[in-house]
Amino acid sequence: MITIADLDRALSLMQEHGLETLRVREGEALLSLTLSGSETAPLAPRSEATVTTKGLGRLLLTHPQHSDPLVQPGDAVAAGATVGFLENGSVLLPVVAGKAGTVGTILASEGALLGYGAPVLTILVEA
Amino acid sequence: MMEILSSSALATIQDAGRHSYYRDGVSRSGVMDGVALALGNALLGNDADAAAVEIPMLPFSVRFDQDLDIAVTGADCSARLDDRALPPNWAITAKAGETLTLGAPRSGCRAYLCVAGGFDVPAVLGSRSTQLREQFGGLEGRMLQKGDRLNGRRAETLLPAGGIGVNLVPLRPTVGDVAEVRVIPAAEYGLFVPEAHQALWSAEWDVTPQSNRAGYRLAGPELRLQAPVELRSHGIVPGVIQVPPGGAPIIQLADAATMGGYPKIGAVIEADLWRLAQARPGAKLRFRQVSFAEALDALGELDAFLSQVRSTTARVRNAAQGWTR
Amino acid sequence: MNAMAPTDQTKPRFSPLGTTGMIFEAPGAFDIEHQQRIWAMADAVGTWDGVREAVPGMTNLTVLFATPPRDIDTFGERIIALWNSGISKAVTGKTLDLPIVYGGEGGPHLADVSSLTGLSVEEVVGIHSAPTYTVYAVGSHAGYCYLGGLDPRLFVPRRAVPLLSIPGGSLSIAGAQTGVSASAGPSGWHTIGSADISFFDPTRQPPSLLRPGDSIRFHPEKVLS
Repeated sequence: MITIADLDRALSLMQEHGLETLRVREGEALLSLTLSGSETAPLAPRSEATVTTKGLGRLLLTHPQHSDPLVQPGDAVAAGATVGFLENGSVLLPVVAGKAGTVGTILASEGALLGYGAPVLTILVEA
Repeated sequence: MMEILSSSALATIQDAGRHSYYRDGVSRSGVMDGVALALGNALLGNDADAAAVEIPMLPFSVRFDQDLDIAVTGADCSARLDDRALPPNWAITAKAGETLTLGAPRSGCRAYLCVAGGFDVPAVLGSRSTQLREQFGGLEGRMLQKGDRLNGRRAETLLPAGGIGVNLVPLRPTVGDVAEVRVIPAAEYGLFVPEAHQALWSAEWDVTPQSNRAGYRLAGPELRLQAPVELRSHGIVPGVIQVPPGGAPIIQLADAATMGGYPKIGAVIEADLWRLAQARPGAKLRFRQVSFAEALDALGELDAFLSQVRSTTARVRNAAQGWTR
Repeated sequence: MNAMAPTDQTKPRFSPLGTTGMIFEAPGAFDIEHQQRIWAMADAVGTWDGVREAVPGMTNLTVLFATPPRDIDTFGERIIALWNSGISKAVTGKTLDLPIVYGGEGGPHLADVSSLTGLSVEEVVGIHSAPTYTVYAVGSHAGYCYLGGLDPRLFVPRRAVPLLSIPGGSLSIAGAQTGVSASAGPSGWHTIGSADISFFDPTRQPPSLLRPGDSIRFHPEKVLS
């Protein structure tokens, strides 16, 4: 299990020794970090929040009347922003980002039937 | 209470229409897009015919001075509540001090702002719809303007945080600029030349700029009668396609006269009138012939969709109330 | 009979108006006897299940559905049977005496009607203001009265291109019909004069000044060229 403290220690080690990439394998988890050159300022510490469902239904990451997904990895989101929908009999409930940050990983697929509390995506939150 | 900060001309208060005064010559009026009104009212838990603001030209913005459940339906018009983007066909609790802004539509052309309980204007002859020609109903019988202040008829907010919306796709809304609408032939259909019949069903008809709540004037092939005909004046209803002697059809709509005398080649079925409402000038129409029975089936399909949305939204609102209490 | 008179149908017929309503058209002449039968039918059909309103037109009847019938043909046959039963309703209503300014700014098509009919302007005015007209139907716009009784010498076709707006109080004619508009709006008829009158008040019950069976007499106040 890699913790935020581990990440902080790895980042400071990379900066200390001028490393551009670092890969750490622990069990099934692979951590890969890349720093883009020496001008990179020390990164602000970040934490990862998981957006979960608050109801049941079919997950829509793209509004059915639109062609582009609501968010993609790397997009900035505000707290309270709608990042997806749960559809029940043509009625849509929002999947809402609890905190502001940057979209990390999409964890569930378009059209998946999800129950209450299912993870949908991660948000990297500035500390 | 809410205040209109900006409004292009032609925004009016409309409900499901003024239905029982045809014998006095009072046109139906009411919303052009009945599906948008029904969905907005379903999302808010309103009566199906509660009054909304119909906004045929954007931009439009209002500021709320108290918390109020609202829904924005109809045209997909990049609605924003302060900085927050609202998805199409969405209902949410607007907070005191927030401003709702509707922008240029991505698709469709008429947006609807519905509020909890419907807009609080007096019912005249059984309806809150604005009768523009006779200048009664709605807000003082006129179009809305900057500075107008309006109230909803229910202060209580019932929506879950983040709001709720509807997926309209099962109703097959028009994608792109050619709307297909279904038509039942009308009394004088048989009096037109065969080329007119062929053109009616195969041409793409332009919605001209002379199109409004009273009717859409279409441009396309000339629809010729076999011989001139002078009819006795008779009732017409929204959807009727009249052909004046020039041969260019006019689809009669919400504010149309209740009686007329031009030959009628057909009538757009009731279940597809909402599609016409969202066809903007410059868009094209295609007509598809259906029987009376098929038109009833289409109406049944529409009613089933709307009643399913009504029951699901009621369940969601009740659940949201359960969590907060 | 003038060529512009509506063709008399030989048989009663009905046709759908989408699924919103249907029209019944009576056979025979355009006269008060036929219209009285339409008034009686409107009263009867208005009480039928699934019917929102039954509205008299000019020897025709428009039925608006609250719930459309599953079988439109059976519904139509029922209406035809009612026509064939011969029910009729005589109405003796009130008479409105209405001063009219013929021609001028408020009657821009008086000269057109004169040339279409081959009559002088004075003859058109004299013939038009002679009869007592009966209100056959109310409709088109709120409070507007369709009148029966126009002299066949004044039958003219509708204008090829409708005007986008004529003012309230405009007196116009087309086909076998004449009437005074109750508010500003589009018109395909020939406007031959104007009157100062309010035919509709939404705060009144009923909101229309005149009902089918009432009458109007036109009194030429001025004739302008």
